[in-house]
Amino acid sequence: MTTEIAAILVEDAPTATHPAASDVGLSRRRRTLGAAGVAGAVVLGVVVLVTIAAPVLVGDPLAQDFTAILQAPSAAHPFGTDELGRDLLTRVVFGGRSALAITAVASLVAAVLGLGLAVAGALFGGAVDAVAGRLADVQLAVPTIVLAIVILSFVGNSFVPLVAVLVLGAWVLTFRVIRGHARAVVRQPYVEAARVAGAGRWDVGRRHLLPSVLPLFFVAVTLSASAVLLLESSLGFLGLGVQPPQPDWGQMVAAGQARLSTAAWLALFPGLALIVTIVGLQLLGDGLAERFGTGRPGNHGAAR
Amino acid sequence: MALLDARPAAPPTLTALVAWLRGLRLPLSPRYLGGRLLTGLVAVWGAVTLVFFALYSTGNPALLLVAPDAPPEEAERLTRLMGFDRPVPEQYVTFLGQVLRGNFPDSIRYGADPVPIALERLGASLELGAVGLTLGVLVGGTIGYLSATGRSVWTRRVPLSIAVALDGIPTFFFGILATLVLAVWLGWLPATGSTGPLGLVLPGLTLAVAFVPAVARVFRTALVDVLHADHVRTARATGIGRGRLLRRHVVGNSLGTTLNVVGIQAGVLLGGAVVTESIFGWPGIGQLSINAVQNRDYPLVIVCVLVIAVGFVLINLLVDVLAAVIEPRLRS
Repeated sequence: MTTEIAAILVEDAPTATHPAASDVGLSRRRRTLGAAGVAGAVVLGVVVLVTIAAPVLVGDPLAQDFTAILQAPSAAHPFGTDELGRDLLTRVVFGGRSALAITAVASLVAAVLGLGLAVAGALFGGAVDAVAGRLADVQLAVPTIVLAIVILSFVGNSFVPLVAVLVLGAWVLTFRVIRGHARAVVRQPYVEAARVAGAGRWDVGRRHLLPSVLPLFFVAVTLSASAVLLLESSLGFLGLGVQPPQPDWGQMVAAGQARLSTAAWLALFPGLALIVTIVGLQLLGDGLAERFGTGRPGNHGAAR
Repeated sequence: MALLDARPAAPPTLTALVAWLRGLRLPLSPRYLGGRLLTGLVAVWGAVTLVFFALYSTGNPALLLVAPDAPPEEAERLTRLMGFDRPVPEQYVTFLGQVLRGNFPDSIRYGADPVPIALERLGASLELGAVGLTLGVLVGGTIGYLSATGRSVWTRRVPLSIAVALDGIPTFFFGILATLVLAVWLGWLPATGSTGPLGLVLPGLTLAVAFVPAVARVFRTALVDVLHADHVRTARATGIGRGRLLRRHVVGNSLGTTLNVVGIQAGVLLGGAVVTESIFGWPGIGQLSINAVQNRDYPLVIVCVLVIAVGFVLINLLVDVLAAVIEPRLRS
């Protein structure tokens, strides 16, 4: 019996007690993304390429055809058609454009904001760090869904407010992940040595801090992108996101819900596209985390 | 009460009263409790401020808060009542005051005070939340326990992998898939709009799935951490049985940190609740708020948002206190 527990201990040791490597210097034991990470990158690459090439690959997502209303998937319409006779495959492909564009912009802005605040806090310490930390606490204490309802209903749900909501909901993730690491790095002897040798804050930031947090930054961007896409599609589903007739995955699932018993494909295909993209992002993020030995940061507080 | 009875009655002087209060053995330090309360109040204040500035950014809030077909005098009356014709800082203070007094313009759709309308829906939300939370904690906890202590790949890896895969499915789509399979195809459950016990299954399940992965992952990590602790090694050295070791020395010590992280997940639960109520037409506050947005019933939107924000803060506070009671190391 004790051997069983011992086996548990041995097997779980690296993940459980994150050795000092993950606190400070990132270990470089594995240099590949792993099979799952590569699969995630491929899936994501295909989704992004198809979405970018949408106008070339498929027709007009708004083109109606009243002779082909609510048709089940067939050779002519692989994903079927909706109640206005619009081709669902076309709409799913175009629906990815708004979802992915919003997600990409929002998660990048959120990650850069989180990175900036975390690095500034580590470099300048004291008040800057305290204010940034307090901001993150308050942000976590205001549910993202409340933010979304307030901003999107009063200010309107065009691109900028939508991105703003998603940024507000997601920046804390990157901030918290990078902050811990950055604070550990600036306490390292080599950083202290650099300081003693006359390096200013900018030198320390540029030469020592940024290169050290960059791997973590990529992991955080990828994983926060999956959280942002989840949130974006939920807002679309609730009618708070991209408005019809422009297609958007979450919004299309909501539109298909009413016909679930007669035309299930209307809700199924946009939802599946969403899952494929989110899983791709998560696999890639996990792969990057393994590749850089950073461990998987949790996505606390992100509404879905 | 037993703790209080053991103390002598409070002497009349102030210093003695303070000393007496200090002597009480509370499970939590007043400092800890006060800090948490303060963070919660700041969060509610933040939500109110956000609502104010969102309102303000629309230009004339009074026009937004009265029905589109209301006479112009109504907008003027509201402008004076809420002080929208004053300078912004004064408007802000007036707004805070009105919110504190629970003074809101009438709901446009219902033509009545929005506060009771919103509070009336809380019951249904709490019912669904309790079912979802219980299911989620039970399922997530079981998966976390199995993956940390299981003896084979089937118990260690498979359930956790399924839970992690669930993380990639948006709550709303899971709800739709579950409806499609269990209600439409198999016909086992009513689809939407039912409030009977069977009608609770699909919404409860959907809500639970929103945070099963987080519970499973956190509980597993906590269990594994405790399995590495010195006291477990000592206990094993005494020749204690495996089940007894896990029950007596490991599980209890893992609950505090788990609960703490589950508290952070309260936002997920809340967002999930709004989505879940919308999918299944559950008559809770989440659905009410989304309907209010669709009807442009802004007074009701404000009240719903504030009720949700206060509820969120209360949940977080409750979880923090519970976690600190269970796990003294979290009290600092």
